[in-house]
Amino acid sequence: MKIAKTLWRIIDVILFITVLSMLVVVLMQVLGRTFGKSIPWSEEMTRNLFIWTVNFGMVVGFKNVDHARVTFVYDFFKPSKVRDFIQIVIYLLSAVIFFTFLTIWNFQMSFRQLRIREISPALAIPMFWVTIPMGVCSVLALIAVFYTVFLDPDKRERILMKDLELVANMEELQ
Amino acid sequence: MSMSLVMMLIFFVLSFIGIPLALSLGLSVITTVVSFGLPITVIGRLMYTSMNSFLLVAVPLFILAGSVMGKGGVSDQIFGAAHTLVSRLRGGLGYVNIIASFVFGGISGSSVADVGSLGPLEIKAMTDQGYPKDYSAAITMVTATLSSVVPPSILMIIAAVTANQSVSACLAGGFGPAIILSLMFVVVNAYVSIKNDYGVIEKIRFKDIVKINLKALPALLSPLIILFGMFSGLITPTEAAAVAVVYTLLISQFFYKTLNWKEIPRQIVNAGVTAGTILFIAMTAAVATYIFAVDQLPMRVSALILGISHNKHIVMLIFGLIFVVIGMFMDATAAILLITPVLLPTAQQVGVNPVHFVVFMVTALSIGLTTPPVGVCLFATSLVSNLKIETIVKASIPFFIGIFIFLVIYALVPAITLIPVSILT
Repeated sequence: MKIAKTLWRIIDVILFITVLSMLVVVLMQVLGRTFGKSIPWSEEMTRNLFIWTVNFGMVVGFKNVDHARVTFVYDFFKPSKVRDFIQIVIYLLSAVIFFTFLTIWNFQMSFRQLRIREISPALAIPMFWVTIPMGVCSVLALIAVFYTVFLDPDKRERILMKDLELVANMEELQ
Repeated sequence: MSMSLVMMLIFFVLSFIGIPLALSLGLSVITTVVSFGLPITVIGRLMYTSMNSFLLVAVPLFILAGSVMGKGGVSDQIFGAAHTLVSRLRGGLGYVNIIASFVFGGISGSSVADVGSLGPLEIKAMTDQGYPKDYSAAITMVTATLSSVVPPSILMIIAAVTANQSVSACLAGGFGPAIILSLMFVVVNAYVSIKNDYGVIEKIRFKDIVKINLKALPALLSPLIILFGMFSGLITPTEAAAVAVVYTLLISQFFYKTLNWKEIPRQIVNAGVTAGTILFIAMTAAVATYIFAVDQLPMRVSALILGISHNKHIVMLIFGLIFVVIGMFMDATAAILLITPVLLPTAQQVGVNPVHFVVFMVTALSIGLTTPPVGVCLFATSLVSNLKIETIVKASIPFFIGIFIFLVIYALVPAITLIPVSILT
C-alpha cells in the first residue's frame, strides 16, 4: 500500500518534469529562432518527452479510472453483487490481456533496438530510451489496474459508476 | 473486408460491455492481427509511431493553457464583458452565453471544460433573471460545442494530424463553421426568447461598460495572441500553445493576481494525464488504421459510396449523416481516428477539399457531444444544472433543429471552411 503510494508519487513527479521540460524546450525553440540561433535537437527532444508524457499519463488515467468508456448497458440490470462482480472482472481481464501482450511485444522491440544499437538522428541517444516507455508503462498500467481493483475501494467504486457519475468526477469540472 | 468487419464487431461488443475504449480497440486489433496472421510486431511499432509527433505536443500544452485560464478566474471576465454588450436585448443572457462560449473556445480547446467552468456561471445568471432552468441549461450545453470548433481545438488538432493535413489550416477553417453555428444559435435564441418573453432588459452605464471591458481586455487578448502567432506563420500551433501557457500565467499573476502558484504543479501533471488518457485511444487506433489499410477498406467503402452517387454534395450529405450517428454513440476522439482514414480517400476522390472534410467532420462530431446516449457535454450539463438528461434534451430541441439545418448548409458550402483558411493562412 505504502509502496504503491510512493510509486504514484514518483510517476506524478516524472510527469511534472516531462510536461514542464516540453514547455521549456518548445519556448527555447521559439526564442532560438527569433534570435537567429535555432536549436537542432529541440524538436526531437520534445517528441521524446511527449512519448514519456503520454505513456505515464495513460498510467495515471488507469490509477484514477479515468479512461473513456461506455457503461450504460449496465443500467439495464438491477444493481446486485453479481452485476458488480461481472463488471469488475471484465474490466480487470481486458487490461490484463492487453497489457501483457503489449509489454512482451514492446520489450522485444526495444531490446532488439538496444542489441543492434539503433541511434536517434538528432540527439544520438539509443532508440531504446525512446521506445521503452510503452513497455515500462504497460507494466505500470497493470499495477495501477490491480491497485484500483484490490487495494483502493474508492477507485473500485469508480469502475462501477454510471456515465453520469463518472463525468461528475472529471478533473475539468472542478 | 472481412478483417475490418471482424475487428469493428469485436470493438463494438467489447466497448458495449464497459471496457475502456482504448482497450476495446487494442483487444479487437490484437485478435484480428493474430487470427488473420498479420505480423504481430506492427502493433508495438505503430503505437509508438503514432505518438512520435511534434504536432500532437500541442494537445497537453493547450490543455494546460486552458486549465491555468480556468483557475485564474478568466471565465468570469469573459462572461462580464460579453454581458455588457448585449444586456439591452430581449433574451440578452442567451446571447451572452453564445459570445462567452465563442471567446472561451478561443482559449480552451475542450467543450467539457466550457460546461464545467462557464456553465454554472451562465445557468445561475440566466435563472436569476427568470429564464427557465431547462432552457438555460440547453443553451449552455449547445454553445459549448463551439469550444471544439473555434481554434484552438484539441479535436481539430487530432483530426488534422490523423488526416495528414496542415494543423494551422484546419484550425483556421474552424472559424467558418463556428461563426455560422453561432449565428444559428442567435436566431434560435431570438425566436425562443421573443416568443416566450424571456429575460430582463438591463441598462448598464457607459462608464461601467468601459470599466468592465478594460479589465477583461488581457483575457480577451489571449485568443488573439494565440491566433495571430499561429496564422501569421511566426510560430507553429505547438509553439503557440506554449506561448499561450506563459501568457495566461503572466496575466493571472500580474494583472488579475488570482494565481495560486501552489496549484500550478498539480495542473502541469494533470495536463499530462488528460493528454495521456485522450491520446491512448489514438495509440490503439493507429493499429486499427493499419488493419483498414491492409484490408483495403477505404477503397471498398469508396466503391460502395460512389455506387450511390459521384456527386460531391450528396457524398458530403451522406458523410454528415454518418458523422452525426457515430457521434451519438462514440467518443469523439475514437470516432475521428477510425473515420478519417476510411472516408477521407472517398472525399478526395469526388473532389472534396480535405481541409473542408476534416473541419466538417470535427464540427459534426462535436454536436455528438451533446446528444444521448453518449454525450460528455450532456452529462456535464446535467451535473452543473441538476436537471435530468431528458429535460435538457427536450429543451434543446429547437437548437437541434437549428444545428441540423446548419449542418446541411455547411455540408454543401465548402466556402464556409475555405474562406477563413485562405484569409488566415
